[in-house]
Amino acid sequence: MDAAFSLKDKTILVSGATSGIGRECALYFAQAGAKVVAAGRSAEKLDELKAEISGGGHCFIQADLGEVCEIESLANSIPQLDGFIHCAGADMRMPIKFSDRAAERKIFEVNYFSAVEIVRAIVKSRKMARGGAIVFMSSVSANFANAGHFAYGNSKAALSALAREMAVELAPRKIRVNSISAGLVETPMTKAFLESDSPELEADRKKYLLGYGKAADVARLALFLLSDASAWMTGGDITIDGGYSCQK
Amino acid sequence: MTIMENFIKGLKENIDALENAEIRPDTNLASAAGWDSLAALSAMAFIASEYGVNLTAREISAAATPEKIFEIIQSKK
Repeated sequence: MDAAFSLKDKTILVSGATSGIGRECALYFAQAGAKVVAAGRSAEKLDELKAEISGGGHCFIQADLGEVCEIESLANSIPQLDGFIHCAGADMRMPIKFSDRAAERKIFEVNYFSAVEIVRAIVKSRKMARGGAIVFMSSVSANFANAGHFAYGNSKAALSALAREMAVELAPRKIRVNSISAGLVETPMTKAFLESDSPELEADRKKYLLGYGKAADVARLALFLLSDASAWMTGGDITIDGGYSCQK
Repeated sequence: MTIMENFIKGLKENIDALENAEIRPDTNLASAAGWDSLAALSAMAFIASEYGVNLTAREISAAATPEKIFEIIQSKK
């Protein structure tokens, strides 16, 4: 295997590391030789991750990224990094007339503003090494609409745009920034929808030519974008969705 | 207005697919023209905000009619 595809001796911050794609990334990156800085909301789940993760030199930070003060606290705790992947995410399926600004703001705080704050902290404190990489977990919802999913979709569209903007700003320091637009991945966050027997579920399932995704499918792509194997990639967005978006 | 009439009035006011439909207590809501995922989400949101009860799409789909849905709401209050 080409050494460029390894994360050996790289320190990678993973937000949302206690669940779903973030947790899978933390475990997978550790197997690939990374020192993982795992940030998550639940102390109990951080302990579970700690017990399961392979290798050494990892650190675990408890933070609720829906709270601004906790984002600041996390930012202050971040060590010198070679990479950052923003997996923290929150979902909401609510038609606009039943939603309200507070609920929509909460989605944006977790999905978008926490990424902004962490990147700001990394950039201001110069905690990201030259040649480092940043990846934002975006979604096909940034480009494709589903009923009641506007707050989530809009927050992910903002996140994809942030990747392009940060790619430009951080290029002078050779820091690369890309986003991943994932289709529906079976995680605790999507469990309620998958078990909802919603009228749209069966139709939605048929759009996925390869079925719904697993967290491991996305973690492998994330590893590539954080590794030196993607050294010439920045400002990009890669879709990984089992064929969801290639059809009319 | 009875409690059931009031519930049906709320459904019709809050779910666009039911706005012009004739809804009786025993009407299968899914048979209404235009009943879709947005209608199901709207039903869940209306019931949560008006009655403080969280129903799943599966529960609404299984109950199907206003009177059966209202029975579940009452049982969960």
